[in-house]
Amino acid sequence: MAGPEAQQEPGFYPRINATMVKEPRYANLIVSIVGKCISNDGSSMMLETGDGQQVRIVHEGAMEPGQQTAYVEIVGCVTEDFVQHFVCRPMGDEFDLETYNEMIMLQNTKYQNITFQDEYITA
Amino acid sequence: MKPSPSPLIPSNTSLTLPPSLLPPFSPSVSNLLTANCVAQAMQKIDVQNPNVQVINIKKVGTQDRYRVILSDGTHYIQGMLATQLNQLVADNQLVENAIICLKEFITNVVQDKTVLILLKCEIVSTHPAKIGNPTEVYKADVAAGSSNKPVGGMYDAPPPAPAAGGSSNYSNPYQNQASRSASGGGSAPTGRSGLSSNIIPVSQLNPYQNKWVIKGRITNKGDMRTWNNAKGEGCLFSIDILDASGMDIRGTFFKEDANKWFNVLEVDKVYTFSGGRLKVANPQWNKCKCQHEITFDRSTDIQLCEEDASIQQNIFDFSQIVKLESIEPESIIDIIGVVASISPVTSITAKKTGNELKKCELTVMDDSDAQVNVTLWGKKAETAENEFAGCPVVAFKGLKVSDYGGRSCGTLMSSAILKGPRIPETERIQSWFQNRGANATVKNLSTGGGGAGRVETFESRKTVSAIRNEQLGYNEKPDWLSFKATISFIKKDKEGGPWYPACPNAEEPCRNMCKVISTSDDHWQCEKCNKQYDKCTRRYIFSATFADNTSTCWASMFNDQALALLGGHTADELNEWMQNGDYDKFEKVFDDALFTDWIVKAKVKSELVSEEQRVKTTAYSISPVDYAKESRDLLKAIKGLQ
Repeated sequence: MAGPEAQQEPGFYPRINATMVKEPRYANLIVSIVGKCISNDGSSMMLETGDGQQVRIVHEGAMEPGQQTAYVEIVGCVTEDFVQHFVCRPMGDEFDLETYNEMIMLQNTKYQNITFQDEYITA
Repeated sequence: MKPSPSPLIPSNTSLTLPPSLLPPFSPSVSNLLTANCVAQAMQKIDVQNPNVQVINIKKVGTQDRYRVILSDGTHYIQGMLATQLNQLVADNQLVENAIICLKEFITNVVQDKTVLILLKCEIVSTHPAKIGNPTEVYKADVAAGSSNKPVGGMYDAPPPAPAAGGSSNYSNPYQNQASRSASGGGSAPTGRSGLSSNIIPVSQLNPYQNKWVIKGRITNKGDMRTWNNAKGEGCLFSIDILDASGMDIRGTFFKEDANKWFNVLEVDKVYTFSGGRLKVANPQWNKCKCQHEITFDRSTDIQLCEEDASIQQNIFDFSQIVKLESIEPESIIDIIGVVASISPVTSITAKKTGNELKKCELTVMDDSDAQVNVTLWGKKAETAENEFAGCPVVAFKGLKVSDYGGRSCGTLMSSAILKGPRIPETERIQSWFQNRGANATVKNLSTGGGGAGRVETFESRKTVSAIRNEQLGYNEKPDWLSFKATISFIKKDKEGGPWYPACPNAEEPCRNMCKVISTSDDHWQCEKCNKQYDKCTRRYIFSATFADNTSTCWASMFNDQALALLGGHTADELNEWMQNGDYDKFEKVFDDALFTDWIVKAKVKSELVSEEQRVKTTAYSISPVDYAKESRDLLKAIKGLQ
């Protein structure tokens, strides 16, 4: 995959979970995270993803506490150990996180050559 | 003068024949025919696979029965061909003067004479002429009453007066007492204590002996059936009897006999049976192995026996349920599996007879990880709920395969159902079920044709391209398949709307489905029920294209599927909007339906359309994709790719 200097193709983003946020290869990339809202203090929220881990989403007031559906998809930028929110999409109140996690694990490991074709990430 | 022992008889033979029966020295006879076998057979001396010459063949009686004269070169004797050998005569293999080897035969005494009944024989060769100058074996001075020893001693005693068919020294079950031979009914035999030694295998039953006893287990008891026709009326029922040799035979009781025995006889119990007429079985209805069947009558006597483990409960040839997909409909098969569910009993009126038939459906699954519907009829359906509660292992014999709902099975009157049979398969299925069967997904071969419309499993689905690739639709009956696809186009621009006006009569004969024609005064006329209505029920009918990653196809959609597709908005509703000018509302319904995903169960059939054969696909049922489940199935399939 691309190094830290890589340019990300506009519109493309890998799907990851909380554990992967800490991996260097996703640093500063725009990613998508689907998870369950655990807490929201008005300026950042905690999401629990399919691997059972939690990640902090910094939204600076973009997401009002209590106004979201139980599950959301956040598209944002991986910054250090949190994700800077860009867009939030409601995913409803029921979501099979386990199955979703299985899928993204396959996408990011075994089948990354299919998921991340070279055209998408330019070095 | 006492002739020296013939060189033809090996010196180590302990059998010595009376002088009159010694054969003349004749090398040609010895090479081709088994010397003296006729005399020996007549005296019940065991002779194995003798070669004889057929010096005469004659058709007798009104049916295809052949009487033969068999000669060993010295004597000749009368024989009858069992019907299974008729083909040899028809094929011109068994011709006059042919030499045959008697592989299996029995002797029977008819009117004081021994007749050989040929059960199995082999053609050795043809022959140009009659060998030797055989005389009828009875004309010779034969000791008809001598004791039955396989390897006898000397016949020293003077022969007793000829003939009475046999003396009471014989415990030979093949021998009729002369005074009682050939009488049809008559009372049951006396001396019951002799019965057990008289038991013969079912395979040896034939119409020429009427004093027989067989012992077997009732493997099936059909329902009591009644008839009423120009000739009269009555009732009957049949049973299948399986003996220790593994052959089964059907027996039928009529009228008073049926009433007498119906409640006495129980399936799975062992009985001895005697008394009744034997006739050739009709293979169209009778699937038992024996070529004969029994008509029980007043002389019939049946005694209950103790359980006999040497007689199997039934003989099965199980097919794996998953393999039923490739078995032709109308085939008869056996299966064994766990009864997972039992439907309530429903009634159906038979079209032909008007009779009411009770039916009930079981789902049966086995360790091929597949399940199928089994339809029970009649009595079996009524007792099913209690019989099969608790997911027992059940063996089914003689089910008919049908393509209703994909694949399903149904019982016939001749089918046998055995709960928890004492065979190794029961244990195998039981442990499969306990270890995984109860919760695991099994492939359902019966997706509920006209019923609940169960969705086909992921594994059984194909792709849209399969319609073309597998050349579906060209068989006599339509092909069925299911696939997951996206609606890519809906043809809704028919004049008047993508629907037809239907009769509002929800009852027979219209059931809301018949087309009605608009009359001049804004009414609707139905041709089927002949009534006029002022309102009609509009039902969808249009075509749409289904696309998946492999291909696209057109499919016809009718009301039920369209309703699902269009979010439940009825055609009448849409028609209302059209009349009111709400075109946007109308369009939105179809737009919302575009590019939605469905699991489609489709029927494919090639039809003649204006002189061209066209393959037409009809969406029989559609169901929405459960994305979570679909994802799980896909992940499972991906894992399987390693």
